[in-house]
Amino acid sequence: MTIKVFGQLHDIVGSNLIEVESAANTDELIQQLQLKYPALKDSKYKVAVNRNIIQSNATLQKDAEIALLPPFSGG
Amino acid sequence: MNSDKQYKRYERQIMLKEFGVAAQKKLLQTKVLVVGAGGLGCPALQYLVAAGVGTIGIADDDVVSLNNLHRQVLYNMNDINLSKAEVAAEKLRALNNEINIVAYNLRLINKNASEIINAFDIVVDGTDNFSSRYMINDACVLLNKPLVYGAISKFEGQVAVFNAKDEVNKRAINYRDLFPVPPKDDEVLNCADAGVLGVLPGIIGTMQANETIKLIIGIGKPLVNTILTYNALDNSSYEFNLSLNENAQELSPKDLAAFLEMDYEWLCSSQINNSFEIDAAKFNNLIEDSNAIVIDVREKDEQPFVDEFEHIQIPLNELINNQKAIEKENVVVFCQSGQRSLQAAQLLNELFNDKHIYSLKGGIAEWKKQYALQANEK
Repeated sequence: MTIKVFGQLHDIVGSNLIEVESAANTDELIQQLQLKYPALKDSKYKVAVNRNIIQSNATLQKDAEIALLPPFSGG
Repeated sequence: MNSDKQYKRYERQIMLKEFGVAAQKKLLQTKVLVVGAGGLGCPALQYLVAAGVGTIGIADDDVVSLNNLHRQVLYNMNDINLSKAEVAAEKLRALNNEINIVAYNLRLINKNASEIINAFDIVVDGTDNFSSRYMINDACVLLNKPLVYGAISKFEGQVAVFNAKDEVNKRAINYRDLFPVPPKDDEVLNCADAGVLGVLPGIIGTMQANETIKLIIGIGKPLVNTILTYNALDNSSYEFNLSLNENAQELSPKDLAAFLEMDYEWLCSSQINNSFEIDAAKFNNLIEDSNAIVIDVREKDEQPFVDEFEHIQIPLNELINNQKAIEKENVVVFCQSGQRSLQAAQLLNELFNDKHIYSLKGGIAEWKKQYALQANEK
C-alpha cells in the first residue's frame, strides 16, 4: 500500500510517499506505521482514505488511496 | 456602479460573463477582514482591494522586518519597523481609493475579536500560529462568519473555506472538525523555525483571495468542506474532503461568554502545565480510592505490563473517543515516563470541568522501581 505524506510528516518518514504491507483497517495501518516510524506516535495528523478524512477506524480496500495530513501553521 | 471611472477600474472582470455588473456590486457591498498582514495576508489584501471588495479590515500588531521582505512584497526597505497594518492600509489606499480600508494595529485576541469580526462579512486567516488560528476559527463559528483559511509548511500550502453553510451537513464544518485539539505552537514548525520559500505564501494568499471572491459572488466551486494542499516543488495538489467531527463541538466554546474565558495562548503554549503531576505516594493513595479511575495511556502492547493495581487501557490518541469510559470523579493517568500522561491530563482537563485529573510523575517505569525497592525492604 502506498501512502502519501504531507507537511512536517516528511521529516519523520523521510519522503512524501511510503510503502506498507497491506492493512485491513486504518487502526492496523497506524500501528504498522508507528512501529516503522516511532516518532509518528507524538505527531498529530489525520488519515484520509480515498481523499476523505476519516474520524474513526475505517476498513481498507487493497487499492485504497491513503494520505496522512498534519496541521500546518505558517503564514 | 457609481461612476464611469469605477466601471473602468473593474471593466476587465465585469466583462466576464460569469461576473458582470451584479457581481461587482456584490463585491463593493461586502466587508472582508484579513487577519495577519504577512506572507498570506499581503497578497490576499492586494487582490481583494484591487477587485473592489467594498470594505477591507487589516488586523496585525507586528512591524515590518527585513526578513519579511522576501515574501511580503507589499512592503519595502522604507517600511522597516513601521506598523504592518498601517503601512499596508496606506499602500492599498494608493491602489484603490474608492473602497474603505480600516487598519487595526493590534493583535486580534478573544477579548477584541467579536467586536471587530462582527463588523465584517467574511474573515481571511493569514496568521502564523495556532493560538490565533483556533481563536479566529471559534469566533467565526460563534459569530456565523465564513472563514477563508490558508497556511503553509515549507514548500506546501493549504487553503480551505470553513464555516460556510452547505446543503449536506447539519452544521457548517470548521477547523476543529479537522483537528479538534490545538497542537502546541512548537509542535508544528512555523516559517520562523522551518523556513519558507517566498513565492509559496504568495500563491496560497492569492488562492485565499480567489476563494473569498468566489464565495462573495457565488461562482465556481469554493473549497467548502474541502481542504486543498498545494506542493510548490512538484506543482501537485491534493484535495481532502472534510467531515463533521463529534469532538469539535465539545471542545469549542459554547457561547461568547465561554469564548472570552478561553485561554488560547495557554492551549497552544509549549510551557507544559505540570500542576497535574503527582508522586508515587499520592499515586498509591489514589489507586486505592474507589472514586478514582486509573488509566494507562500507553499503546496497548507497550512494556512493562502492569498487574499491581486495577486500571484500564486507553492510548493517548484514543482518549477523546472514549470519554464515556471515564465516569469517576478522580482520573489518574500514567504512561512510560510521565510525558504522554501529562499531555493526556491536559486533554482530560479540557474535556472535563468537573473532574480532578492526576498524572503520575516519572511514569510507570519509575514507579515500578520504587515498588520493587519497597517490596525488597519488607
